[in-house]
Amino acid sequence: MTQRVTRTKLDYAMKVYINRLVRVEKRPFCYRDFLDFEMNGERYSMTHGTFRNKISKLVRGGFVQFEYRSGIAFYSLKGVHFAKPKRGVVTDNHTVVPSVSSVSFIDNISSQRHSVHDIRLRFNTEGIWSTIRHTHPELIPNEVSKDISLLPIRMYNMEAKTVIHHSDTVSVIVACSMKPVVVDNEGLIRLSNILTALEERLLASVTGCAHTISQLPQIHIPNHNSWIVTMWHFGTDSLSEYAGEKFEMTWEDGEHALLRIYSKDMKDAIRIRKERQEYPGVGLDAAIQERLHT
Amino acid sequence: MKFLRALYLAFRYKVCGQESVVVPSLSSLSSLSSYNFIENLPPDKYAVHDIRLKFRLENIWLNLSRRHPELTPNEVSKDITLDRMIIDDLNIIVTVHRTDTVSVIVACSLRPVAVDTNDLRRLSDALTRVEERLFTFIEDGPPSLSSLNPVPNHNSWIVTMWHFGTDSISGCVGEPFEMTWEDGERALLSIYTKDMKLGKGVRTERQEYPGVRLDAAIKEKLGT
Repeated sequence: MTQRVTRTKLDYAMKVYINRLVRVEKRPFCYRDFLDFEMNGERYSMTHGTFRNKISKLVRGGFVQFEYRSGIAFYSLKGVHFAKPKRGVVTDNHTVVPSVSSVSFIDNISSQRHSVHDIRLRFNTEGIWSTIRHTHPELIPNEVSKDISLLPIRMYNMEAKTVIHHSDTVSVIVACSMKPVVVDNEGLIRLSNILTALEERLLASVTGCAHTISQLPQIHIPNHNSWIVTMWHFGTDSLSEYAGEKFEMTWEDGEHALLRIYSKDMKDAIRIRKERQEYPGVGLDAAIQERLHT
Repeated sequence: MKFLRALYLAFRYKVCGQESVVVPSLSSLSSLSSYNFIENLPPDKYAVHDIRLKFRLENIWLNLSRRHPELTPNEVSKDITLDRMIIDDLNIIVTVHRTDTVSVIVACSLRPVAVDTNDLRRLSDALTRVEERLFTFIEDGPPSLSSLNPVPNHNSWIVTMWHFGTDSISGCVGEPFEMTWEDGERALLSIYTKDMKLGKGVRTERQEYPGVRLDAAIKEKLGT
């Protein structure tokens, strides 16, 4: 019975999320969008296999349709079409490029320095779920996954969201799409600072009231430099503004990384963003060191 | 000043056994300001240490004295000094004055903060921890993850003083020594032998009083 309710809830969340991607974000979707997503403040996840099963049903039911294959399959809502990305792109000086002979055109756009955004990290610390459950009874775990979502912490135009899983794994998402972390002194210090603050708040949350400022914690929160970067978007934003139609192109490279080029509304202007969705799978320190030498 | 400079260079050449340092003529020294004096020395690495910062936070003294009666203010000055924090080899002392000014001293003489990405991150992260721990302390309990920290961001804290200079890593074999003098910009210059983790070395430093925000002071040094 519970399983059926869970399935229904996930199906519903998936449909709402599909609508959001297609109608609001105006883009087709693929299985990667559903590996870990958030809807109405709740997190959902599914495997690639589950996605395939569910999408087949939705295609058969006429809710969605297959759009095109670009390394991986992309889908859209029934009746909402997205052309396979081959259309012309208007550059900042209004020159129409007939076909994006992809990378050559994009590579010629002068860009700002490399930056990272949508950074996903995780670490493990024994006993954290039960401790938080005990010290913060007001935080209700998700009925199904038992995940405890903490309120986000905001700093330097970045937002860090934390989810404590029942398995004592802690997931952290640093969203900073509007102001990506530039891979330089200032940017990296900014990122390090928000993670340090998060570390300290978690520490304070699990240790309860501090009687002395230097009180040692009972639960060990590892230093954020050792947290594993599971995914991030690494790329650049164009220096010049983009004046053409909204566009997006996505494809997969040989290293299982997703490449995306799209127009991004940055509040002050629309710019062309080139990014590579990467899965470093190493500690933050190592991942940053690697990128510093890019 | 000219005499000390010549004396120092001669000292390095003869006593410390380092690679040859050519002693310039005294006339060439006349154009060297005290700043250039340090800059022109062979830098193993520029670094800052003994950093003193301050910021203001309304009612912090009153809050602390009410919520933490165990912290006895100094009888005369009424200053409240918090427990020393040791973070990443940085020895940090926070003192809350009755005027609601907070002084932060970062002592790191044995591992100064080099002016490079890794060490500046070390300093910045440590000061972020100070911000957060101070917040926890003021609140007298764990703040919610999303609570806005009333403690101003450390980048806005004023650097009242720091020591900026270089350490010569190559071993010094002579007798310990120390020379200090003041330059025209009210900065104190010192050259002295220092026992460091890697052995004895010569430290050349300038005691500076930036009087500006931490981020501005660091930016200036990054441009050095």
